[in-house]
Amino acid sequence: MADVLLQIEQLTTQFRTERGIFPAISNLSLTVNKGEIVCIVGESGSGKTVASLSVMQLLPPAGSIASGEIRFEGRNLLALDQKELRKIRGRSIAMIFQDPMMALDPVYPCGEQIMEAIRIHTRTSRKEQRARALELLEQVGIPHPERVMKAYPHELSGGMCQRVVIAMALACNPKLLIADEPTTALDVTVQAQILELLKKIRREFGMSILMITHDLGVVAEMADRVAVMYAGQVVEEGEVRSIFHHPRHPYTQGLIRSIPHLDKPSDKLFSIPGTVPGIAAIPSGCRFHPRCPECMAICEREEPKPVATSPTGSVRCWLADKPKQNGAET
Amino acid sequence: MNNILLDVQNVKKHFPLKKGVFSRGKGFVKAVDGVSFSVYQGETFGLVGESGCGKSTLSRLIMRLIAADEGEIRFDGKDLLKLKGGELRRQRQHLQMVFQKPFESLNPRMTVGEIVGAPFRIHGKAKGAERERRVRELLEKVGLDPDYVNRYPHEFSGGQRQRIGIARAIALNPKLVICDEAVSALDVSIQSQILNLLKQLQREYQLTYLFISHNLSVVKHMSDRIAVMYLGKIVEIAGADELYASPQHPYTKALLSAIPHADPDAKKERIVLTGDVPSPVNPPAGCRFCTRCSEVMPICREREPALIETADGHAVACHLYTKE
Amino acid sequence: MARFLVGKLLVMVLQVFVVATIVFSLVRLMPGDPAVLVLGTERGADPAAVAEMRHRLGLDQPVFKQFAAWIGDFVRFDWGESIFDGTKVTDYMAQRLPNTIELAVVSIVLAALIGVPLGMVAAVRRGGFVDMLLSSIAALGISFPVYVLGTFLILLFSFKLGWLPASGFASFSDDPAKHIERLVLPAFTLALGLAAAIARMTRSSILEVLNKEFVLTLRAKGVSSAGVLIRHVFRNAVIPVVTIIGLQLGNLIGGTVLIEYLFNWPGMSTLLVKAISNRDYPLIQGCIVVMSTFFIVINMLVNMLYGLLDPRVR
Repeated sequence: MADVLLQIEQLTTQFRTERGIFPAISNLSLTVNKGEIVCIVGESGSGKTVASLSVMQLLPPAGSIASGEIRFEGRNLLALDQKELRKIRGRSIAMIFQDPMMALDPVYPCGEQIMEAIRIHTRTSRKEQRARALELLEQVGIPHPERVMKAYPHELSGGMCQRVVIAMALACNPKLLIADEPTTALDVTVQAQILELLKKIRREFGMSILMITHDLGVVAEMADRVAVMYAGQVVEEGEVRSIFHHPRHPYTQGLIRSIPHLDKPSDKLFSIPGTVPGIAAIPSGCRFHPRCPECMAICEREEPKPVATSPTGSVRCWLADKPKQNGAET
Repeated sequence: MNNILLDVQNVKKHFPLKKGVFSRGKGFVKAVDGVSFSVYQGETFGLVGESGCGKSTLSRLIMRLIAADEGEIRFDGKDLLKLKGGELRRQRQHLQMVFQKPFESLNPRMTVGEIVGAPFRIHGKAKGAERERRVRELLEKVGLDPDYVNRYPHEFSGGQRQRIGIARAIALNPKLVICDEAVSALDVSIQSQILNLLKQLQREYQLTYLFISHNLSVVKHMSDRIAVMYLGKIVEIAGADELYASPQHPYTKALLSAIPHADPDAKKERIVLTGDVPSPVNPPAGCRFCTRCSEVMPICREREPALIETADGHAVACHLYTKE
Repeated sequence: MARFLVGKLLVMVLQVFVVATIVFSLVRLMPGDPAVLVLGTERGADPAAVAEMRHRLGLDQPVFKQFAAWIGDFVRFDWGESIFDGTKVTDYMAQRLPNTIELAVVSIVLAALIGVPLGMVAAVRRGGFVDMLLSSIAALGISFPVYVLGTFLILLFSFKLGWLPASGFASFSDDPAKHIERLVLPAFTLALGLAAAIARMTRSSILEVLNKEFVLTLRAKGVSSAGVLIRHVFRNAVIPVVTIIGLQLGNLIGGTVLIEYLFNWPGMSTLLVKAISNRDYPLIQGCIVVMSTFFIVINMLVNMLYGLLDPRVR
């Protein structure tokens, strides 16, 4: 029986813009269990980054959480005050971001920054902090930890920086790691290394990972479960195999078909017509209906609610109530 | 057999490193270190590699945005490196580029109409109403509403801006278009739209593409032949299908295996390279890849392997093959 | 590191040499006979007086000889005498330079003490009272003519309130209290204008750093807002601010003439102006070289400080 670690329930986060206040994510629900890797996949404008920032309330000043609950190990994170929240950040939940070089302070050596993560959450001596920092650098596969301790971020390559960032995140043995596009800014061979590292960390420490990405290949490789986001909502959720082999939502189907496959030659790539709507121009009814090849009358009027398709899967689509045309689903 | 449109012969570009109080030279960044390949008319030639491999520098060398230190770049029979002034400018009509960053490659102070019309203005090919007509035609061709001529780039999305960049590139019916990471900054669904557009335009205008990217799946989809670059050199050239089906160079194999497949059931032997890409300032002696190669031999550290043809249209620079 | 410093020092010496050469050439490149210019139209009509002056100025020698002699003297700190009153140029420097340096340094320090905290508060509480206040008065502070501000302050603090003397100078060794009393108004006049610029720079620098991604990482690590601000944001934001402060200090060395006149503060600027109106070439040369040298030295120090603060530059 899976243990629930993080439960996001009907979360709505909004942003203040010149034209008014608009929700970036609406009624988002998501679960991450212990030891699990969940990938949120979506394109720009889907709200995936906003969702990840909302968990630890790291939104920019223009953003605010309007409603919903975020329960971590049973506690509602939204009910915590700043002091308690800071105890969670970097300790029980850690977060890493996209551009590793920009994620580190350029005027302090890497070792100092890792030690800072240890220092603010534990009562340890500088010597102990240093030893732990070295240990962490070794764990993330850095060949010369002593050198990297003294190095400044701009002296390291992208891959090395990301390892340092991961080491920093692991400093206090968090139960959940939120990774927002952690490999997007890296070369593909370095990406492979980092993904292997994350899988190793999950194996060795039993840590859960909530990974945000737009790369379906990364999803296929890393995820246990997947949540597909579009225009601020989860449109489909499920185990990674069912998402890839039997996608239910037309958007998910479109995404999968758009990828150029190395082993399937094709002249013309499938592409979903139209573009992702901005937060101020969300369509009525189902948000995807203007671009959906199977749009029905009801799709324009009413927003579909998530419907369970299996014990671990759900989809937000009026088609879910109808049986599929070609072949029955098991 | 089509004729060769672009012939690159042993091109080198070394950027001097300045260090010290009085800016003394302290070595060179050997960004491109002896690259040779040919692009046939009408084909799409893919160039793939990771950061630091020199592919961006190479594209700028071909466009003559920077000057090569050594070598020849023959475009349509003429050596671009020997052309100057007016002659060079005239050649530029036939050699265009689509850039990577849709948010940075368009002048924010020019309207779309001005941007797409600039090639006509610069080369004196059309004026006034005629230019307007052709601009509108081009916008339609790339899938944009011609009534958008008076809008500014910031009013468009990334994919639309890339379309504008493409319209500008094909305005004068060029012979060769270099696509330098043209879709890397776009979302997957927009990517496929732009790639389809590029293919369609190639058919209509009989364009030749030099397609540069770090994304092997995209390069494979677009290209007829592909060259793999590593640290300023080409390590393998082959037909697109052939390269994927039977890669020969250890780096190519590692690159292919590193790509995450969009199939959760795909089990593969992943070759994970150790370490980072060495800096192009101090490339290893001998084969550039010897520090990370799983099949390294003593000779690899001493002598650089030459690019040798191993099968029809398939060339590798690796000592594993020069022995045979 | 040592090589780095020695190198910078050599560059500095070179720059001073170049300045000295230009100064030398200026006098000789000006239209008209320098001797005649010095003597004035009346006395300059007399060829004998002109010849004598030319000899005094060394103008009857070939140019290279003049230059060699000039450089030789320059290096030995024999900068000649004032044509006007015969005082050794170096004596004048010794008298006036410390006053200018004092005024400049005190003004800058005051400006920094006022401007930096103001800028910080304005940035951190964006849109708040201090921020609004800063935006409105900053433009004023930067564009307000310094002599008008000075006059206004004199009117307020000397005449209306009688707290401080309007002008004058007392040497520190003679009477420290009086000296400081007379330093306050001129220093503050300069400081207020500079503080506005420094505050604006501080504010925008901090805002820029706050937007950087590493700040988000810091918050995600659990660092408190105070910790983020003091240990990280400020440390990054201070870099361009320090540069500005250094450059302004350099400017002040030569640019305080209006304040010196207004407050009767015996500094280098007034000396230079007097020398110019008297066409006192040796004195002019001396002043220009000294002021330029200071600017060069301060520039170099700012450069080095920049390297110290920002590891990316090293």
